[in-house]
Amino acid sequence: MSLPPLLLVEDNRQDEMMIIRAFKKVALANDIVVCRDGQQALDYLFQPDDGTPLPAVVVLDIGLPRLSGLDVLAKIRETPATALLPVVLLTSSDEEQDKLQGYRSGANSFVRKPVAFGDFAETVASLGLYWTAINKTPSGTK
Amino acid sequence: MSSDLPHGSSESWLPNPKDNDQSIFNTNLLEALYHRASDAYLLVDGDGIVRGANQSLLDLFGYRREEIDNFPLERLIPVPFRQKHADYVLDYFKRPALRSMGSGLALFGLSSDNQAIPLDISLEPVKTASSHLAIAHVRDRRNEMQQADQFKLAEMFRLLVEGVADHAIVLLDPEGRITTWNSGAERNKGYTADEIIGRNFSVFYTAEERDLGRPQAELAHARDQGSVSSEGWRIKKDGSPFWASVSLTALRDAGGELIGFAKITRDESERMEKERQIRELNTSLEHRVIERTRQLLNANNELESFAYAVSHDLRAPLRAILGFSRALEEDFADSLPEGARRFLEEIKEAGIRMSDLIDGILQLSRVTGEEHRAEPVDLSELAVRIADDLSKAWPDRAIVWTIEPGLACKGDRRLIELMLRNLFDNAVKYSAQRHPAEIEFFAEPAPEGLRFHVKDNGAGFDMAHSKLLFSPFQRLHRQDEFPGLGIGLATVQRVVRRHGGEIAGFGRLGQGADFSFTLSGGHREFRP
Repeated sequence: MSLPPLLLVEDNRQDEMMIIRAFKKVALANDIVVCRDGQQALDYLFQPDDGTPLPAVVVLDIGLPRLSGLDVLAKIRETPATALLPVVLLTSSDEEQDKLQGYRSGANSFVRKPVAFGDFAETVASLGLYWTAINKTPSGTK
Repeated sequence: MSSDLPHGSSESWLPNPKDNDQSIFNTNLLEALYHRASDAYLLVDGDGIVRGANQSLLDLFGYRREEIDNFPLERLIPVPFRQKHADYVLDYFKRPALRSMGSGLALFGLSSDNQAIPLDISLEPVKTASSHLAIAHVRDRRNEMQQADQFKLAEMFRLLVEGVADHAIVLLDPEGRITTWNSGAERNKGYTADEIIGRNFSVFYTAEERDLGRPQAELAHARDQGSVSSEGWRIKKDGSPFWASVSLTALRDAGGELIGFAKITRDESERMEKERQIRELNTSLEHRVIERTRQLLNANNELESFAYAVSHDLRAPLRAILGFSRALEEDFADSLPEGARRFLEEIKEAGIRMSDLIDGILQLSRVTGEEHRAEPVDLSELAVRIADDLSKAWPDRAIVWTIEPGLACKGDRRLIELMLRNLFDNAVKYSAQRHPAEIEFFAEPAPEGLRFHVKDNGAGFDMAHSKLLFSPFQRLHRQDEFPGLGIGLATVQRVVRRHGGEIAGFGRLGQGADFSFTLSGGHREFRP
């Protein structure tokens, strides 16, 4: 049985490339599914049963157009099937208000997109490993 | 009165007490006239001695008959007039003639109780067998003078009232009909005296108030209470209304009988208008303040969301620049020639500087925008801590810190620390060439309160550029001399201002800088 994928929700193509590069560098084995906005992410997560597994972890940018990361997070938490899904919020600033609201909305972790992605690779990778390898979440198929 | 006397036949009717000649009283009637006349009579001889007086004269001067006979006439004359009078008597008897009353002399008598009495006197020479006498007809002018005074007073009062231009002063008869009209009334209400005298004062009221019986009610009130004051709309001759302040006073004669009313009206339209304007001005001022405050808040919010957007949106491309530079470096290091790697370094350096600038903008906007608290802050303790941090951050530098103990203020601890840290950072940075660098933090009293100083022995600056010190992104040194963003002092100034203080920088090239500032609530704490 293949590993559940990692869902990356990121509208900035360059950030997406950097993040995927970082994951590749730490040799993350999971597939990475990329959604470019909030609606796409919700469609992926809540599409009618098509046999695809729930992701191991959702890496979710806060600053998405239209439906924001926090909106997506709220939807994930209020839906029983996804309520326990690990979600890592990404933000490009360390604004207190963003963090606070992120945790309040039920984020499991919070990562600031650094200026240089060197350290970020390790951070995200360890997060990926934590949620995919160490932490057993009640995952399954939809 | 003198004409009532039968002086034409004087020789036959005058008494002469000296000669004891009673023959001159040839009828009882004359005697009765002399003694009972309401006018006073006095007989004087050529030596100025009183030879007779009737009852009225005795009453007038306050003497008994036996006191006044053979009395020197001068005793009946006030002292200042005596000498002149003596000369006059001598003169008179040299050329005796009839002198009638009202000849223009202001004459005075002296009563037994030393009161001066204004008199009018007519003289008529009388010749008896043995002597020359003069009969003086003396008339008391006190009442007459009083009446004249009263008349004068009344006239002055009338002129005064007439001249009052900004008050309508009007007399009404007991029914409210107008009997007098002054210039103020004409000015206020537009009627001339001819047009209005005789008409009822109710014409000044609005039709509604007349229908309600308000004019009569006010008269009744004034009659009962003595006076009544009121304010209200009144109508001018041209029909235009004005805001009047009116007082109505009942006038009564000596017997208490109502003889009319005095009515004083002041046109307060101007005052009302001014008050209205002031109210309007205040209201519009209030609105403007509210509006400006709202605009300011909006601007502030916009600035904050701008700063927020800047921090997010500018960082994304920056991340890409720095991230891909690094990726390039890492993934293709082997195939990159030396020159390309150096260019990559420059790209990364510029990117990091831009990132710092963005942080600076954010910091500045936070200082200006955020709510801040007022808590006691121990400045000296804070200074020691920051100095410690900086000494550790520059282990190779020799820095001598001199920090005055016991300095404190009230403010937002986080912002105050940010300010102090910026100033100390600068002091350390610009004293890099000194061994040792000397940095002082102390306070001294100033008229506006305690003035804090952060002073160093570093590179200083040219005072000619001092006004650029606190402008954001302005720098007085080249990047390769002292690197920096030009945000630090701008931030410091904003923090100081937010704490009700102001800051000044003093420096000389090569001789160090001294930044001094005040803070509301800045003080020295005296510890036992």
